[in-house]
Amino acid sequence: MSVVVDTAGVPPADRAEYWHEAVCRTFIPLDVALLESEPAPATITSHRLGSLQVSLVRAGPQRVERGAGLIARGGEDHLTLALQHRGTARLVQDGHQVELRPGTFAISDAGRPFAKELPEPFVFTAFHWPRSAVGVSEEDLRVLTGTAFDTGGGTAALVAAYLEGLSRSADSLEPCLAGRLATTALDLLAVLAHERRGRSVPEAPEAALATLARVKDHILRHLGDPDLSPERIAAVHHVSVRYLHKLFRFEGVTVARWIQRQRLDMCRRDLVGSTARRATVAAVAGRWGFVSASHFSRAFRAVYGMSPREWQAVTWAGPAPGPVRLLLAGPAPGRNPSSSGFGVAV
Amino acid sequence: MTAASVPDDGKAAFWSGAMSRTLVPVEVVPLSGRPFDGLLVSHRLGYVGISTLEADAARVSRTAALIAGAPRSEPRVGVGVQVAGRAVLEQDGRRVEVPEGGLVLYDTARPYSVDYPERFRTHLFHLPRRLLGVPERDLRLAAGAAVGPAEGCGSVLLPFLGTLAVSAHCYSAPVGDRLAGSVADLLSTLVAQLAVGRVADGRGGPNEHLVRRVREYVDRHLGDPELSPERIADAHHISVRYLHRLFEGEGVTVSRFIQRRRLEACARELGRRGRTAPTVSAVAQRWGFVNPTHFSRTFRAAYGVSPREWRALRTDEAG
Repeated sequence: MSVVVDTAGVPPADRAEYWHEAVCRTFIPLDVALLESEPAPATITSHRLGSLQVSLVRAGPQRVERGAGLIARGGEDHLTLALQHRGTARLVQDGHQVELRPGTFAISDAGRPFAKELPEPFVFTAFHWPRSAVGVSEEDLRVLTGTAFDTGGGTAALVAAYLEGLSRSADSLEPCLAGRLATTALDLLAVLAHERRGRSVPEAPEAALATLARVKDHILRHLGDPDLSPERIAAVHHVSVRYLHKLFRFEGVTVARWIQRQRLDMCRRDLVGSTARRATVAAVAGRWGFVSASHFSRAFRAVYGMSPREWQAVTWAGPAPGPVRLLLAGPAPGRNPSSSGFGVAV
Repeated sequence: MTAASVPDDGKAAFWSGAMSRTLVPVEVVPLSGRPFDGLLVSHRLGYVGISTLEADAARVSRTAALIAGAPRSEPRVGVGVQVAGRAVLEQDGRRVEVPEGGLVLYDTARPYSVDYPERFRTHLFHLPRRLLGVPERDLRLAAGAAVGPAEGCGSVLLPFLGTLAVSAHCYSAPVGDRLAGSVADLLSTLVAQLAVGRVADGRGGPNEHLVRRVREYVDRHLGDPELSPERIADAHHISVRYLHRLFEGEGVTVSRFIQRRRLEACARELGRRGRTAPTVSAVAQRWGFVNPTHFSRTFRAAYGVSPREWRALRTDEAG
């Protein structure tokens, strides 16, 4: 499904009002001031991919602001990543000023005031999602805002490459495929947050790295064994439990946490099922070493921001993709549709 | 790793060894007949192995013998991202041409071969099959399928995998583990997508069984010069038209398929070392080629070298 906003059909004098309304409906309540006396035509093309909304925005110079009053009017649980393609932008949030040029991206949190100035005609892709869709702590989320990500290399480049691919194909993806690909996008943002937080971990010596690699391999081979425990793992590798814990400190996680994350990842892949039948939540949890189904569901939600059943619904390839929420229902009430700037293509 | 300093006659063995150590045991045979050169760079990202291979025209094969030689090795799923040059992959009797910028999926638990007919650059991703969480049936449907850079999940996966391959060296271990998880998620999505596609095309249904029987029949009758679509159709109580339709989904015509299997049988036999090497024409005849010049021409078209050169290359290298 795609929603298209185009102000080309609107008289220039009315464009500011139309545009303001379109931006608020597509994203969150915002104040918008166009900086041209005669605003050029502007467009937004929006697609919904699972919990992610992807919008290509093309418009003239403007300033948008989200003050405390607007936050109270809704949308506060959302985050927006803007990947700049053309023109520059300046984003200010929490006292941090971020300069964006083409090829960079920044994330804003709709739960706190921010202002964004776009002094030139611009094109960017906005990725908009509810914070509950990513199982990332509030502290981790904080490291993602108020900073410009250079896409020249490293994890930020990887995130940008992925998001660009996703936005290019957004109009042609089937709902179940879109849901899975959008989830991976959010996972990558979680990795970026994890990396940015840069919990300082000591550098592991060579010998430790080799043991760690063997231990991980062993764990991955025995994920389904509910008796897999630090004690058992230590015994198999002829090391003390203490040393095992020390090894994982080089990774910045505990052994138990690492095992659980791998198990959850396997369950999430398994829950999607196959072209044939899909397995029940309890069966999948059991297959990957979770003894208690309720414990599994809790852990799943904590990491992925949704329940196992919600995940199955997102990725279900069946004929009914579920209710589609129309973001832009059409022209504003009381206006003549033929003169409206909103074209809605579904 | 580069083979620049290795003498020409040892290069194929050097390359087979290098690729076998970093990815999975394979045989590498140069196809150009000219001095072969290449570059192999490998990294590990969590449980994902990533290798970038740039080399002259070559055939990379994972043979039944290599698979049987290491029965306890972990079955892996491989994805090749074709950066430059073409690639033609064959697995389970399916043959698929990978477009430049596209990707192809294969399963290391069953034989496959990839022909790179010209100088090429490719990123290869390998990860344990069981970590994909996809049923065996779906994996069988998806193996030997290619995805172009502009279709389905290709437009999302390809830029990501390409960027990941060239930056694989710069991630910390914890980030690498998480990224490996994302690669597994994406490949799991890809397999599901390809499997659904094949089922929708009717290639995973009852036809698949018939196609397999036809393939087996062809393999049993390769030496018979009378083997033809008509004979095959008769033997399976179907019309020639229906037989052609069956093979449409396989990306190859029936006659082409027969010819390819015959060429492969000849290539295998010519490459075998022994005290009494059969003549080229004897080999050609044994596998149903009636006309030796026609055989030499088609062999060269498929393998880039004449049958005699092929034999010389293979027997030299192995020794």
